Amino acid sequence: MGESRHSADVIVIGAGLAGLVAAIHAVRQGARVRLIANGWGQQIVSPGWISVLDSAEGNTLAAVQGFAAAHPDHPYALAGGEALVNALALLQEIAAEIGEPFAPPRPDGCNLRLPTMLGGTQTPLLAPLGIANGDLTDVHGPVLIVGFDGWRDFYPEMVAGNLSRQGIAARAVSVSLASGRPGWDEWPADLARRLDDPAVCTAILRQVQPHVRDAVKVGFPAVLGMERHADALREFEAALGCPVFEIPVLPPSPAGTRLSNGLRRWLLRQRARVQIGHPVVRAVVEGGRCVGVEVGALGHTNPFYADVFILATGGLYNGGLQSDETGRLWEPIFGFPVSGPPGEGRTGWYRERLLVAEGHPIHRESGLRVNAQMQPVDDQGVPLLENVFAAGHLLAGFNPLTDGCAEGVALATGYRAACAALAVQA
Amino acid sequence: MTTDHSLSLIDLTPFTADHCLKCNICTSACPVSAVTPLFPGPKTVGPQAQRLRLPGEPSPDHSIDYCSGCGICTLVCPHGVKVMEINTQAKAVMTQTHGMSLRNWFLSRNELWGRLGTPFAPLLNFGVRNRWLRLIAEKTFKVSARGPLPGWAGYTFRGWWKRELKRRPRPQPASDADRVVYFHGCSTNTYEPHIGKLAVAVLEHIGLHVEIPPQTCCGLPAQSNGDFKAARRYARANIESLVEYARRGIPIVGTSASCMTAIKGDYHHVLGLDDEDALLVAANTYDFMEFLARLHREGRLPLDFQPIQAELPYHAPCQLKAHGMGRPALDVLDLIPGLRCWEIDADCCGIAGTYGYKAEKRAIAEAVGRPIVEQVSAAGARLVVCDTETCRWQITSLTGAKTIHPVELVALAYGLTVDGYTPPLPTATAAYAAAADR
Repeated sequence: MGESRHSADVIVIGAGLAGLVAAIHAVRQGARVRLIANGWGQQIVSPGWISVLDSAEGNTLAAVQGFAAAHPDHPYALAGGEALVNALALLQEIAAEIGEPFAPPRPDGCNLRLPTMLGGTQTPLLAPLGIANGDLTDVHGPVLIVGFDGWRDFYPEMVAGNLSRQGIAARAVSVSLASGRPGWDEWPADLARRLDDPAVCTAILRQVQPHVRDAVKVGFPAVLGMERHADALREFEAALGCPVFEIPVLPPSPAGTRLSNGLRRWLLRQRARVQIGHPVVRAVVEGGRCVGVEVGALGHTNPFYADVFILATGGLYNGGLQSDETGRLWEPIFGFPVSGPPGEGRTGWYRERLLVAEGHPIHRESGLRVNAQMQPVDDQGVPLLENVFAAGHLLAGFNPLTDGCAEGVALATGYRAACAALAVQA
Repeated sequence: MTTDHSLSLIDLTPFTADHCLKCNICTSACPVSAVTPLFPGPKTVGPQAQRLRLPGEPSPDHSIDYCSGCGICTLVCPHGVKVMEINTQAKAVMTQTHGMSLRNWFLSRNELWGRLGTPFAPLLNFGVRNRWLRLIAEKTFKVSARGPLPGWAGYTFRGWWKRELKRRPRPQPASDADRVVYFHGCSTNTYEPHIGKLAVAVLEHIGLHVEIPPQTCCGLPAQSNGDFKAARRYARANIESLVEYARRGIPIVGTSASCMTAIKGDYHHVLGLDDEDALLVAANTYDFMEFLARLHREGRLPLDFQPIQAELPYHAPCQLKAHGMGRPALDVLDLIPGLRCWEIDADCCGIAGTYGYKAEKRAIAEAVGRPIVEQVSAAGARLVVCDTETCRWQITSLTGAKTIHPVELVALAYGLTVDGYTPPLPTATAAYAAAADR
């Protein structure tokens, strides 16, 4: 009969940006996709922006090319520049389609310069519309930072004060959030949902309007709506008569939550399977190929079969890599060899001081080694399993913090892994 | 991240609170706290309050009563905290301390009402459908007049099966490999016997010998109302009845995904039944559609499906999501030519077992179910597919669409039907099949 008893062509393990972009690309190429993850990935706890190469001067994508040439083991070098460009385009297209658009990149292709909740600045390449509006490049005139009375997680005076110290004129004002929950802790998602109520927005805007005066833009904590964020942003700009921007606050972030929710709905509507909440505990390997994975579940494990597998389970912080007190590092699903810093136990993991510009060896040196097809390889560079591909934070060879490339690497390697997997599958 | 398979030392449910980083991912995902200020969220009442709960002391927090028990918090937790399980156990402590309301006791005894009510079906069905009587019940018993109560079928599935075996005795199979145990649950027994009859028809079409041993309520309604004593009594009775089959490796399958969650998971993680028999039964228990998907993987599922030309939305109940088995209903329905099912993006329909029947929680249950209403109405769907009974009744009451169990589509595609049952859709006619062949 020749009919496959698999209910999927591609199994993607992990629901961070790497896994999601791989799943989206595979779905768009017509593959039947099953996404299995123990939980949502880091986009839920990240600001929602896309760091590609934070240190880049001038055009960022051009800088990535130079960076990759100088670092041949870096995932950017392995995945190739085209993967990053295509992945960014794909993410922007899908994000717009699900109503969570990223702002168009700057015309000069440079990084944005965005304020943080401490009043520092960060330089991602892309950001959701509301957050990108905070770009401080070429801002001439004062910026107004708005906070909410009594909310313990955002201090507008501190933001404005620290921005002013960096030569960016900024003022602060606190407004009251009329009514609300009776005395509970307020989390970003709580506030964002509260601001889904147009009456709450109107009450806030009425208090802010007298303070706008000469401000060229007005910043709020990034809680401007959960369900009706786009409408809220438009209404705020109309009411205040100038661009309005959002400053990322403590996790989980409404922007990351909206993106994850939107992508889940998109995948389901394309009839992909999305299974969040149970870990893959084992791979079933036969004759140099992975034939299936087993998911830890109630009562018994459940097997799932496919032609190709994309492993995007994250690094040490996310469970994709595991360790213990002896400093041993392992990859728990396939048992792939994991490289790590040299030295006995954990002695080689860290440098003397916590804050060092070059970062700690454990970040750059721990992870899976892969080839240009994103296949995990052994010491000799030989692929370990012909139909398994790896992407994202569990790869060795980069430091997402000091390189400032966490999302860029996730997207480029996820996209590249999906392309290579589909080539094998076909 | 630490999952319980790598750190079994603190596998015990309450101690998983020690994995909590207070990241609030569960609070952001909670469908209940998203729609009401009365519930501060799973983290606050769960791992956070857990530190203040001393053994033998009264529970410090009453807002936990507003937890629906849907378990989305446990699913989204990246660190292996059994948030819903912790909350359900805390609810039980509260019920122990403060006693149980008559209403909650009533809602926990679905099995009893189903059985006792069967002879009086016409009268009771008039009662549950009469607006005025329902309003009186809401005022006196706090059972919401808008809560979608089923009607009694007037006969029991078990009674039908007894008669059916007399009418046509089934020969014993040569080996246990051709046997399967069917767990019907209370709802199928007294409200929707057609689901059980179709399930038996499908299993027999596959060539399996169906056994239906004595069984009682799975215990989930009592468990979610904090009556662990009753829940454990129900659980024990089921385990005793089923373990003999589990020992022989005979699979136990059930058409109510919620009952199956209880047997596979809650008996252990919530009620604390971790003896050999309980675990053996859990290991051998399968959701009905999960079982069919497994048979297909093993090449044992007949594929003589007639086409069904339809595009249908499917809702995966919250309690089904807890299984960790994916969406086997979709995997199996995808095998039927012409049928295209897609999953509605919704955490929970809101009813969460007995939660949505409580007058003070009805509005919350309806708000939680809103994403289903929006997507079903945007698709213009008149028919929805869903594996659990209370969810089906809730979806029908919220959307006006008829809601069916996936086994109904499987039976239809196999060309199987049962007495007194009208299939939800026509199969493609022979003429269509002929045209398709050309």
